[in-house]
Amino acid sequence: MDDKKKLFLLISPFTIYISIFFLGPILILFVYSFLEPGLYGGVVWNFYHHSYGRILGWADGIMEEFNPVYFKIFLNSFKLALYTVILTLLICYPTALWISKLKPKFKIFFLFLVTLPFFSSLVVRLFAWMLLLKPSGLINEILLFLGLINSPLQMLFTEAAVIIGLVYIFIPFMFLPLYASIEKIDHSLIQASNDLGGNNFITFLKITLPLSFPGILGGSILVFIPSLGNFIVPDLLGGAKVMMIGNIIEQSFLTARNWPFGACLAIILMIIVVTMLTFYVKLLSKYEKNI
Amino acid sequence: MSEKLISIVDATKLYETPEGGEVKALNNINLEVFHNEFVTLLGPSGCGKTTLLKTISGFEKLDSGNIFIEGESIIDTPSYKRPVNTVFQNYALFPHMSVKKNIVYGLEIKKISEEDKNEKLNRVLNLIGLDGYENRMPQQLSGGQQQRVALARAIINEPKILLLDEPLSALDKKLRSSMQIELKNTQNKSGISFIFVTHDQEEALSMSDRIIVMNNGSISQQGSPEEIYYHPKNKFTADFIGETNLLKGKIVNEHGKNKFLSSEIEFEVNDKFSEFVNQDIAISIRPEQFFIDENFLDNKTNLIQLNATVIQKLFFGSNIKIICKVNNLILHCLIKVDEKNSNFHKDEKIKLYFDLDKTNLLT
Repeated sequence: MDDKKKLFLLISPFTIYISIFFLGPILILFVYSFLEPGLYGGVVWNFYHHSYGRILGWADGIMEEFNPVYFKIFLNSFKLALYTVILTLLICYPTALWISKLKPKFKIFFLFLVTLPFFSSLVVRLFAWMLLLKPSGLINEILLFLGLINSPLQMLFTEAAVIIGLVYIFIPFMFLPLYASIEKIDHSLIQASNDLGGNNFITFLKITLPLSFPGILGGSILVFIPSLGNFIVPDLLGGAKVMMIGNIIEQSFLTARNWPFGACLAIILMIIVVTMLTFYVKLLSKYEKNI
Repeated sequence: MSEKLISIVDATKLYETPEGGEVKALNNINLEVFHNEFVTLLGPSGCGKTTLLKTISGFEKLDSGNIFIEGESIIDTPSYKRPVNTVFQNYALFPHMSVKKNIVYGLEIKKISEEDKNEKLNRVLNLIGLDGYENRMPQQLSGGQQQRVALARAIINEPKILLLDEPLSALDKKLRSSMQIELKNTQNKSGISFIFVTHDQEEALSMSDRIIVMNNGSISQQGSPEEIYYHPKNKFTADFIGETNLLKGKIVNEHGKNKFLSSEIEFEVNDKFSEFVNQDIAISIRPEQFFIDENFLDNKTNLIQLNATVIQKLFFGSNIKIICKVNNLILHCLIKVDEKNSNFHKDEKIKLYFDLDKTNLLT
């Protein structure tokens, strides 16, 4: 068997799986987004672009109306996803730096701890946060008991609660790529910087930070994209007050039964994500060309 | 050369072994380095030479003892404030910076003026012969070029002492010998004292003003390359530096005459050996101190003759190495080609001569 055939055989399971279960549904979604919505869900097979018009501004005004609220929800989703990225980065970077300096056996232990949340269900963990944050929850009870507040704080169903939830579930996705790139940095480079007069702060800024750039970028993408489209966290911790784009998509399909509109939102979201990924790959390859 | 630049006093460093015991990586090291001196720390791996270097650069802390640079103790000074720079074994060039950025790294931290910076940069680029390469990235350079960038990056800061941690070990033999010459020239031109760590004794002999031979965390001997080579003080140095034939035996006095006696060899020795009578000693003879033709020896007063049998002959170009045995003692001899034009063959009986005065006595 020649190398090409071997390669083909090796990548075929992945390719087949992805084509059937990923590209197929996306194609269906794409087609649906240009069809007329059925009255009770489903689609009517007529070409129809007013679902996009409803979001981007050219609705027919009869069945669909342009509503700028979708822009706002997109923007708000971006904002929440961005906060999530920044917070996970700020939390994970020092931790990853610290773990990378430990002895090997401790490293493995702490890496295990980081991945521990994966061992339990996401929904269960989010319900735990609800119990902590609700007006009669643990945090409020403690604050009341200590006399720091007089009446329970509204913490659940706020943007802050959604950000807490998003940060909480996506921390490992930031941590692992970040750790991988920090861990890879040759310790002698740090010593060389020290040796040439760089104190720890300068060394961090000029050596560690730029060399961990691929990890920062990778972690940010891995956190940003699923945060942007997430609907479970805003559903459980944001309630009706905090909407993210994922909630609207979910509601379009399941509640409003307007499939083309949901498909439309999903396609727009995907275009944004793919554009960002392209940038990411370009940025990374430019960086790697230099390394 | 008279003023002390660095002095290391009673330096001791302990390491914990995985079994829980303690090993002295450095055992009461006392060492001085002077201005404009090329000092080499030479020893087998694990002898403590790199540890000693790291205590000077500040990457390792001493358990006891002190290090002074121009009279001031530096052991509490963090590494980034010490007036020393290091050339690392793997060069440790910053992969995300160009050659220029790498070289001026230290200067940028010191925030010196752009003008001075460029002037110094051009000077070191010229010194290391890499003009025109300043915008390359380190991985676009060959091993030898990377090595020179690492050197430039260190000496541009004009340290009082440059520490070099086996900087040539990753280079091939030819490149290594040309870099040896370059390093020595750079040291001469810059006037910076070099402390060079190596396990390669040829390298040490060819470059150093002074060699510190280390073994098991202690200094075994120090001196000029010639001193170390021709007058090793102990068996370790004699064995480690160059090739040597150690004749281990005893001096005995028979009928008023001193004799060297071992299970394989015996020969008469002069009065110089009287003080060692009935003592175990070792005589160290360098391979090139053996001769086949006695006419090649200048001094024949203390000529010792051995009857040997050839085991093997190795041709080295200008020299021939003959491995032979005297009874069961294997001797390595290095003979000049023009000394005897015969083809030595296996089992040939030959006569070996050496001048006892030129050999070394180790007790």
